Amino acid sequence: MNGYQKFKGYKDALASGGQTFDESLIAIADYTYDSAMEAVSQLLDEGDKPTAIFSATDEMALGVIHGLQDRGLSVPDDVEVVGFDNTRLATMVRPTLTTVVQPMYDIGAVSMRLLTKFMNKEDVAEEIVVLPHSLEYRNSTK
Amino acid sequence: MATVSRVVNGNPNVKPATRKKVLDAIEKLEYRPNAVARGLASKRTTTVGVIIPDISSIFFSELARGIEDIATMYKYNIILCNSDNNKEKEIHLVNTLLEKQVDGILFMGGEVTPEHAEHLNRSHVPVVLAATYHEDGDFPSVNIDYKQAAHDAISMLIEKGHTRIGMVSGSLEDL
Repeated sequence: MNGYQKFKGYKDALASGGQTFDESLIAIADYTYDSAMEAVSQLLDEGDKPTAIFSATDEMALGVIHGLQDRGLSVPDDVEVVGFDNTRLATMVRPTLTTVVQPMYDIGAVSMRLLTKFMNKEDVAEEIVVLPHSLEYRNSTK
Repeated sequence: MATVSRVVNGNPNVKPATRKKVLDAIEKLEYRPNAVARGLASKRTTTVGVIIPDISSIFFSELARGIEDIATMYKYNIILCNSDNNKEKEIHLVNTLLEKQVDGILFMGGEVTPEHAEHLNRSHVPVVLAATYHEDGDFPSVNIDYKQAAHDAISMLIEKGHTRIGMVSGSLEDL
């Protein structure tokens, strides 16, 4: 799930935006919906509340949205939420989820094609393939 | 037998009349080429081992679908294994797949440790990492730029004026 890479991206973006890193704004969960709901409670109970939350996966983002709503907060008016993956889950929640698009089908297809090239001893131009990502804006952000 | 093998494997070096005779006999006997025997002769099984954390997750099922579609297109079969992101299980699966003489391995997991690398390298069959970051970068891989993607999402929130941006993260050990 590349947890550390995503965390590093979060930290670097804060630094380039001139913001200081505050550990109390980070909650570690185990990629399940339930663990994310608990993580949100933790974020809300510790010091100043966040006004936006970035979740490392869509599934956890659903836990974040529902955790916020259970505490009487509105998404996106009180807290904006952004997920990661753009699975079907992103459109199966209200408000629908703004999320980073990770093209999973393409990653599977391209990695298998790369493997067939190796197995069939074809020429391989690049062994490390980085596919493009993007942001899909929906209603969990304003 | 050699002629039968040539017909079954599509070798053009067979007289059309002979080919027809063989194909008729195959149909009558409901003969199916023996994949194991074929693998023994060619030293290839046209089978690929795929290790993913959990097929029941929406996220991995889409990935698996992409893998399977291309495998079928190139006439490979896959053996799909769930690892539950468990290191011992992942290494055990790698070795089991190699015993089954797969022609290649597609690996997806949280982390490629030196121990993983050792077992994968022992294989002498090609290995490709899917959506799995490996710091040393000595395995071929297909990814997006996870760090940049997260960076973009946070920058978007900063531009909207947020100064208290929280993160619900997975394990930080999972590279």
